Amino acid sequence: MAYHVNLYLLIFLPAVVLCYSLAPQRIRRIILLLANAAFYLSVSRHLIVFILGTAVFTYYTGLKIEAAGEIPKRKKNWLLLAIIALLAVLALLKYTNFALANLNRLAQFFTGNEPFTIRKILVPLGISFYTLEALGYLLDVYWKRLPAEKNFWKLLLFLSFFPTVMEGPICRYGDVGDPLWECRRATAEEVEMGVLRILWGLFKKMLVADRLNTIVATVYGNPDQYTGYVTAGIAIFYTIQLYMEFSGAMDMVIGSALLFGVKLPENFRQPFFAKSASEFWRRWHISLGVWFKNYIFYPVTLSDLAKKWNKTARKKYGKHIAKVGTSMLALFPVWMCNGLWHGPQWNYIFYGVYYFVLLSLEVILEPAKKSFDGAKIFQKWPVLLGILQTAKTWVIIFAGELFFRADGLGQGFRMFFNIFKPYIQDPNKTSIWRHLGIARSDWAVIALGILVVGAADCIIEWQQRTGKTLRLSGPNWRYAYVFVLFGAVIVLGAYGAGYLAVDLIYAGF
Amino acid sequence: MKKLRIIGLFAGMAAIVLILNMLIDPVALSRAKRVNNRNRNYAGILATEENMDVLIFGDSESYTSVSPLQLWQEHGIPAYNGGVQGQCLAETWSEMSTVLKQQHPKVILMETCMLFRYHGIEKDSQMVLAEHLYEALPGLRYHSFWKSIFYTDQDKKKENDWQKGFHLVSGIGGLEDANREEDTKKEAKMAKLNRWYLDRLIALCKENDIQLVLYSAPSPRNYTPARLDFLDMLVQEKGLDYINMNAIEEEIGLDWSVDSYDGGDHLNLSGAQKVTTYIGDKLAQEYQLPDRSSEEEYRQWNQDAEEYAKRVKKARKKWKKNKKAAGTIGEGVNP
Amino acid sequence: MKEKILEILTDIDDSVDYENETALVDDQILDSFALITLIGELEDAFGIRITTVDMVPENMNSVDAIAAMVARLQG
Repeated sequence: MAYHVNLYLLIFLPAVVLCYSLAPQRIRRIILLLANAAFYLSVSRHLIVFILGTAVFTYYTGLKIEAAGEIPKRKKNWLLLAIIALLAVLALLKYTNFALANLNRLAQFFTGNEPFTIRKILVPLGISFYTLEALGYLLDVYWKRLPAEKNFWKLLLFLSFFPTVMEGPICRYGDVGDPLWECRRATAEEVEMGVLRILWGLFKKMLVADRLNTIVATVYGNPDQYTGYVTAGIAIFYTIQLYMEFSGAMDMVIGSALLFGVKLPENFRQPFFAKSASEFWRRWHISLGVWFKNYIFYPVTLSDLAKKWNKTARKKYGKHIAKVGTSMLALFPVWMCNGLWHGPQWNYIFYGVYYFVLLSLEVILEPAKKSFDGAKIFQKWPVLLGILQTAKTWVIIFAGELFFRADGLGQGFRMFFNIFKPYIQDPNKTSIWRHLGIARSDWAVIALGILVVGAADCIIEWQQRTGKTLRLSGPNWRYAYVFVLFGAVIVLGAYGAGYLAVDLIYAGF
Repeated sequence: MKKLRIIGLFAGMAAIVLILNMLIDPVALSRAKRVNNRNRNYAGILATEENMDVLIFGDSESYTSVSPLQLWQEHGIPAYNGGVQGQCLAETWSEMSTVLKQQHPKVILMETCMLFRYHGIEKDSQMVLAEHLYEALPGLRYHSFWKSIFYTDQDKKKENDWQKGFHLVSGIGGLEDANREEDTKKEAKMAKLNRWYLDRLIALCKENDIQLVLYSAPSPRNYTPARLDFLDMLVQEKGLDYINMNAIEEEIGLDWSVDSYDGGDHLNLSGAQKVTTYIGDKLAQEYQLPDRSSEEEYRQWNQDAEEYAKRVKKARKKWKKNKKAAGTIGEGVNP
Repeated sequence: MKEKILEILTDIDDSVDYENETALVDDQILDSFALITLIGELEDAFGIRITTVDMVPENMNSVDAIAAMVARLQG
């Protein structure tokens, strides 16, 4: 089961929403917990013990941490125990095979043997997501931002909530725990908005993302056959596919939650308007970035080691170098974790290193950037600066995603260097873009989808920047959009004859 | 008032579905050659006005092995090949129930490769749900009809390779090593879901007084000995008529170096001709199918057959060229 | 105290109207890197220790909020 399949949209979700809405309040929690269980069982079956175990463990240690209150050493020990245990489970399930495979490669190099056999390990649904939510909760309790939760079922409901368990967003217990447990009925506006967002997400995935998936899979399946503008183009199309799919899934998730009167945090904020890599990460997969900021970046910058560096560096080398040092010290663990979090593959680790280097460079080059931005030409035409910064960011993004999608780091590098080998179109054939698995009709729909989503994102960005709202965003227009999107998905959606169903990308993390 | 808005929301969406379902007419689309995906054969049956005596169902093995117009040419049997690429048994059942509302064949010929097709309960439960939806709202099945607006002349030409559901292919890809790794993964098992649908299919044919005949197209890549044994047992268990073309390859003179276009997975025109002749003879004999070639109602079929003959001639010329190119024409061999 | 805080903030980014801003963190006006500098300066200037417990938007969103936090940490 996944958020875009007919089982979920036509049977599961409507059934749960109906039962929930018709039941009295105290029953609604039970309904949600049962729904969470059903959803989880349908995907991971017996692996449900892992999420239950994590919930029990988190509940217990949360109480212990709070109880240890005035004894700092005991408090810290409980926290450390919790962190190590939760991360160990995650590491063992997700990264054992990776570690063994690499040990095998080393052993092969030195001794010619591969001592470890690699058996398939099943990974429970959403473990990367709910583990971070659990860790965040425990750290918030430790830092006294939250009281420890005394009601186990409340915590379990939060961790296992079926809209968030598969692909996030990664929520903070302080924000979502109470509203979720309250189980109030959705207002009429929330129902309308929920339906609209689900359809908007479906529009993005079924019209654009699933079609782009075919050509991306074709090129990545045979990467050496394509070079030059084709490879470069595929990097761009993959980024678009990923955006449409992941943000579309988030729309479906946030929309689903709204039907229960629960407001989830946004995970995307018009990412292609970013003018720098750091801004990009405040607009893309926001909940992940926020988690790293709150639970790794700030703690590291406020640690004794960082402060010591800051003090001595400021005196010896000046403020800028001090800032660079502290930033890099904090950025490194963040980006190592970000890379690894995505999965046990070297290209993901490279992805983390890639952004670590780029973000560090942005801090290092800050003074240079200030003088560049102050140039006279940009005073005259500030739009020009904006365009240049956005274009630079786009290149960074597309290149990063090229590696992200690759099947291993070697393939990533090969494809990257392929871009610099020009591609020569066969004069006897039609354009290469018509031979990657989709037809002209599909390209027409992709273009339409990108235009519509692009326009919508522009409007939303403008509204957020100016604080104004266009009438086009009003409730009556939104009512109409539901029908337009619904019709579009039915007629133009990539389902049925001629299409293969496409799984959710982030559900594998 | 707000509650009314919400009711209106869902009512509106339901209305959109119903209206689209009414507007999208598979028969009209089929006649205009605007069903250019795996639904074309399905729609083709619905668009046929005359009653047909034989209907063929199955996956790609079916529509590359039996040619209805050849059956007409050789025995005056009106038939249509409703095969669908990669079809699952649930889809076959859905297709059969729909077409049997207007067609009353004497024999249904069903290829057996689908019996082994299973994608796991998660994917197949979605497929089953989708099929039930399409059955209730048939127009939705053809929702991609608008793609034909982008059709090029080449695309339109390709549609002519589909002759009453049969797919005319003149390519040659000789049989390589049959023991490929992928083939070893092809198990001789039938999923419970498929068993259930097979029983429903058998019941459906019985209800409508139709003789159900299973057949296995010759395909060394798909029919491992284990699978053929399994099928022998199955047809005994269910008491079904069965034609195993894999066992009579020699008898019909099948030559894998020239009769397949993809190395033993599917037949090309040459192979299909041999198989159709055999099956046509068998069907005409065993099931007393009348020769309707002189019946007034089937006038159009004779015209279609003439067109078909021309296409076959052209295709065989191409096939011979391919044979030469593949280096398999020797001295003194009759082309 | 407020004067010193304003001085520090203006040093970090002089394009912001700190007198009237009440969402310095919530609206991303000061990003995580700017906050690193801010914390370092505040600790130096007022001899306080800022820890993760204090690191919440409510304490950093406006000059007044920062002043209140500093006062609290000073004793």
